[in-house]
Amino acid sequence: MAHAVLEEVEEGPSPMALPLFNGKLAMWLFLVTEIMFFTGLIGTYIILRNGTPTTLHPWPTPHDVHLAEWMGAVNTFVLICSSLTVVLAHHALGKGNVKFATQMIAVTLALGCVFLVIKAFEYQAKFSHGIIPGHIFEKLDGQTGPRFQRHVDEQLKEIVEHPEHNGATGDAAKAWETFLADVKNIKAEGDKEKAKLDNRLNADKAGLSGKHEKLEGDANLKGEEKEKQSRTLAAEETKLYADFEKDVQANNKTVADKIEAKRKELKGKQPTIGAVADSWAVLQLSANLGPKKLNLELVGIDTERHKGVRPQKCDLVEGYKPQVVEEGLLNKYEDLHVSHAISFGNLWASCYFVMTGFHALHVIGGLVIFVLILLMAWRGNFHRRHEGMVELTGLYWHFVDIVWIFLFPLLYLV
Amino acid sequence: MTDPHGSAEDHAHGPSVQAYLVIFGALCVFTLVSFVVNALFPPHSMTALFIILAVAVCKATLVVMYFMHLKYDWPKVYFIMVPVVILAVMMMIVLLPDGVVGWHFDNPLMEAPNPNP
Repeated sequence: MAHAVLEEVEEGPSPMALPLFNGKLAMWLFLVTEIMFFTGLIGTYIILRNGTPTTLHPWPTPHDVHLAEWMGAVNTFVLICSSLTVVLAHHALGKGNVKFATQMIAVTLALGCVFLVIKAFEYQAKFSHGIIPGHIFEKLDGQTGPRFQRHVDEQLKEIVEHPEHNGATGDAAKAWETFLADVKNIKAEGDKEKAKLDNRLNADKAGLSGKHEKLEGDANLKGEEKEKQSRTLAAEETKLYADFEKDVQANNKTVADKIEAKRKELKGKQPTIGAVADSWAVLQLSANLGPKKLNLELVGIDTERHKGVRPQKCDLVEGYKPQVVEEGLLNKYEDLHVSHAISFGNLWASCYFVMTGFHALHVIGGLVIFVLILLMAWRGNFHRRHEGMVELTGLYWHFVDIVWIFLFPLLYLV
Repeated sequence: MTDPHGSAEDHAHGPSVQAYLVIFGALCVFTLVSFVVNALFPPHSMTALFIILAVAVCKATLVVMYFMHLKYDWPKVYFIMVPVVILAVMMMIVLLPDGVVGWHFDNPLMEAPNPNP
């Protein structure tokens, strides 16, 4: 009996065997586990994407998170091309055309690399704008507002101190230095003027207190007359302070006007320095507002729209515009390296990096296999009998393509 | 590792180079369609969402059916594919209850009680 069974196995596939070769069965089994893996990720993303945002705190738009749709579309195209080349490689190998198959594998490898390079540029754009999970400011109420303000101020300082990081080179950088020196001089002049005003005030005060003492010591004057003169002196003192206040204000305005004129002149002369000059202006404004107040202009807070929302938590700001800055610096200069406040930005970044990261790892895995195939071909060990291997590699690569086919619209478009 | 008989058989049923090129062209057109639809429709448009997702499903179907030869291999692998489709749908259903996490945001009814009234 046992002998008969053995004979049957030796003769051909058992009636229980599957009608496909082992490698293909294994690859399909592997791919279905991969389908479950990415279904989990994509399903979680869809739930978070649709379950959390509200009209007040919407999901970030691609523009908010520096996502370029065309880059995603180009990457989709690149992967589709690579899918075509790998399937052509398999087809050619089946026909015995090893040379063409090898070339097609090489093209696939190159296209996979192009995909990763574009991905790297996309990641770089996220990193340079601070779009990293856990680093994004979302709600600006409570203590987060001042922290965001300090964070933005630090970034603005960096821009002002290193204008070359924002495209200012050569003449522009020099012009910027000249401008800063001019500002210093104007401020020094203003301080001198202020010191003069202080001296004048002190001298006048001394004169007044002398008069006052004299009046007190004068025994000849009657009570009523004394009262009258005392009132006159008080009025004089009030006028003195008012005049001082007015002159100080005028002095401040002169200084501010002079600086603003210089700044406009600089911007007119050096267009590349515009973003830096505006950053500087915002920084000055922010310094004047004080550390406890948010720079409303910069953050783009819409105090009207969100009145009455969570009043107990909005002690610093009554509300905020979730979609970053609509008027103001960041809207004017999109590439300025200043953090935005993005509602659900951290959740978005987590989803984005997990999904695209795992996909990129799969792409790298595919590239390793293509390199191995090319090494085999280079050593003259790549023949028609390897058709099955190329087919399995193709199956895996097409799966990676399909994952991107879903990731692209879900992350970039809808 | 490989079975030359099996692959030769697969190959005999596989599409021609022309067919592959046609599929490739269709995939490119579909990508363009989803990009253009996204640009033309206003943001958060349900119509655009529907079109874009339908296009993605069409693209995936083309890749699976022709590039992955599922059209020809279906009788051989259906017993793996059918369970995974059921399981994937079930996983989505299991995740659905988490759709209520948004209820905690901006909903005055869900505000935590003020500890210092």
